[in-house]
Amino acid sequence: MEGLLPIDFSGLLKQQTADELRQCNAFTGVYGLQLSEKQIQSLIEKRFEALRSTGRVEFGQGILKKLIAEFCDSPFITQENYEELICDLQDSFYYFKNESMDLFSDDELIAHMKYFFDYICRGDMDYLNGTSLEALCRGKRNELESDVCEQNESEVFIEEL
Amino acid sequence: MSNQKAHLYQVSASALSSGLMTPDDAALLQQRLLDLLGNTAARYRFFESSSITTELAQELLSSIIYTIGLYLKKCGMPEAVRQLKSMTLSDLHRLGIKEIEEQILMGKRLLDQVKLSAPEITNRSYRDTLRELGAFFLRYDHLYFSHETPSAIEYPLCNPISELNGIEFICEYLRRLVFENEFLRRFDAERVKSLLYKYCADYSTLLINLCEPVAVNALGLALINGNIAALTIKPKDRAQIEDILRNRTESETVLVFEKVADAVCDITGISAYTEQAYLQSIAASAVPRLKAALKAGNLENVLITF
Repeated sequence: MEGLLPIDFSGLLKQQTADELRQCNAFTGVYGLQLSEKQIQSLIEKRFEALRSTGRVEFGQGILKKLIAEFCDSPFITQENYEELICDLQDSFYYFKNESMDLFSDDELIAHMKYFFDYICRGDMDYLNGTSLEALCRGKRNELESDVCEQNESEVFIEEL
Repeated sequence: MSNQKAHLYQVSASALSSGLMTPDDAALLQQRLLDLLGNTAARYRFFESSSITTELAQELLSSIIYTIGLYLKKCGMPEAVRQLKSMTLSDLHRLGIKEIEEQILMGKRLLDQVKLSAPEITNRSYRDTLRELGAFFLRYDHLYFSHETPSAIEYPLCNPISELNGIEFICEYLRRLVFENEFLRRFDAERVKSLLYKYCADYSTLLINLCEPVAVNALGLALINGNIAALTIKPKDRAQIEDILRNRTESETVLVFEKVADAVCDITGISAYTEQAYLQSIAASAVPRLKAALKAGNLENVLITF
């Protein structure tokens, strides 16, 4: 897919994302969180890297704004770890979108991530990635498998009828 | 990839070379294609997900290209370029979907025809394929995966389809199957069964085409002005055919067999041009096997006596 993107198109996407991240500073300021221009550019670059490494394609402006809006009030995020955590959360988000076989919507997955991050993992990204989200996605996949089994059983039943 | 993809590329390449489209237009077209892909991906995910996997994106893109290609194919060449330049890709995609929906209806009618004309001969792969063809219309997602053929179509046709996919493949497959059914029904069912039994004793369970041995024997008999309704080729008939074939090259033999196919059409009352052409193609594809059998001295395996 990358090869199909005309250069100005991906440039436009980057510009749009940068504008959105600058706007985020307005509402994260009350929590003492601000992104510098350098940090914004770094987050955008890492967005494309995360997409590439997880084998995903994004057409809109990305997930960063939603992640920032959801996590900015977390007691475990400070100005010192802000950029690093948002970057890690972005990586986790795309990874677990794949792991959950896209069965969660963006908003659902972010809400789960926030809940685990604040109440279970207490701001520990390794714990979030290694246990909570893994278990959540495994549960969702099992749910799908049992749905498929039920569907197959009903198809067999209909065929027998 | 599908011929529809090639078709869309053919249209843009031809427009570029003839000057109807500039490189800037082509770049714009690519961007419009990406925009359409973005909208389609959002709809597919119910606007709940900003990203999709690369594999899904490729499938959705293939579907868009297939759908637009199908419509442009219907338009014909100069008109296709004009439409590509003057209309939005969303509109072309919508028209393509409409075209697919028409083909789905046609496919369902053809499937009914196939079921009505099915030969009274047991063959497991034929029976399974009929079931799969019915299931195709339940499984086919023409909005998002129009280029796919989500069915196990196992029964081999006399003249296989190599390039088509999606609904186009199914319609063409059904068209050919209707012809093969109709062709088989022009002969006595018991004689056909005897011929098939001699051709392959396990014909009811193996993956073989039922029409081909019948067509080849009929062509062989027509070549020597024999009684094609009898279907059987006696050793003296075979010797006569052998004499005719021996001194001809493969291309000469193809020409002879194409003429013979016309004679079979006259005798069996096949009048439609497409059906005549189909029998001619069966005749042409039988020639290499006949030549090989002649060379190996086992023509009785192709022209069967029962």
